[in-house]
Amino acid sequence: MTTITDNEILHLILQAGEQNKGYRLLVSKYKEKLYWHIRRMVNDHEDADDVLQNTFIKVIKNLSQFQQQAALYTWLYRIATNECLNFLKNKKNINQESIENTAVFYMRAQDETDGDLVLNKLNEAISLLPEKQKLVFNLRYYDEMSYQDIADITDTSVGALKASYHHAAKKIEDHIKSSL
Amino acid sequence: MTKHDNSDIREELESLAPNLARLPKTNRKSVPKGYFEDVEDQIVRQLNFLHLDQRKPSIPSGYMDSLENRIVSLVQDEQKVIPLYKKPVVKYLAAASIVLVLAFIGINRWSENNATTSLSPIASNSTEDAMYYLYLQDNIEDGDIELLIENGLVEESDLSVADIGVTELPDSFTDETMFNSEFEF
Repeated sequence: MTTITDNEILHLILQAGEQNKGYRLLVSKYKEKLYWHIRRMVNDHEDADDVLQNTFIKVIKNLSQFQQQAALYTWLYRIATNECLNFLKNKKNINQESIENTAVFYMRAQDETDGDLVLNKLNEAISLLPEKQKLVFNLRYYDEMSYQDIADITDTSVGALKASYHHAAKKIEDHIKSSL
Repeated sequence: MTKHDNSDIREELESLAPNLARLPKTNRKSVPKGYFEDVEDQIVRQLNFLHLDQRKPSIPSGYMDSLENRIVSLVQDEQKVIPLYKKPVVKYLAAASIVLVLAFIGINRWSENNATTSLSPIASNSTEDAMYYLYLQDNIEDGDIELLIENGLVEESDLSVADIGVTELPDSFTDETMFNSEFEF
């Protein structure tokens, strides 16, 4: 099965009468990657679903502003990341409760049923990271992105990203060690 | 999405966090069954609801092609020099001026006529008549009066000043003023 390229999708979207087909292909190609990226940030499925839909709507509405020099997927991740951060900021403002604490509570409740202590510790450790470190760690660890792509998404220098990832990995390692 | 050679990422992680590097990368969070099958439909439905495909309002065909020509001709029309005599406003002003001049002449003439007629009763007022009668009494010979009476040109009663109700004349009435034809009123 040949995978449709980003340029072909963009061409369809710009073609009169083929827009819906283009939208479907765009969503189909990136829905799972973006969903998991968002889900790792916001934890709850319902929230992730909302953020994912907002992300795609925003992407399609602003396609005319997309600079073709950049890769489409970094642009998508950038928008998804911004949507996540805005969502978390609003949620934090509403609850007055630390997102990290909520996440830890959620993780612990879920982990008790799953039973895998080490993996539970991993999730717990990730949820305890500051937002920026968590974001960098997820993009590098789960999405296996290069530092340059992460820099394009987060508007941060590669050096700062490396430092951030190293700090995050060390913290998680220490957290896992405590459970062994 | 460009996947890089994962070996460098793995090596980096092994050096940083060996225990973490040994763990399997799994998404342990659950997703409702069939969720990913419905996502496209949900998003396309939302997009259609927002009418995103109709964001650009339609314009008549060929509108943009002819737009520059129409704007250039409009600008040229604005810049055309019209001679003064061709401007309609000048014609109206000329007609209005003629009407005003005629009206002024007419009013002037009418005023003059009125002035002449209004002078007559003033000229024949009793003071002037009295002066004429006095002049005649002082200067006319009796023979002349008789001759006038005989020819019926003057009535005898007309020669009495008392008859016209003038008993006294103001001191300012001298011979000099009586011969002056232009009286000041």
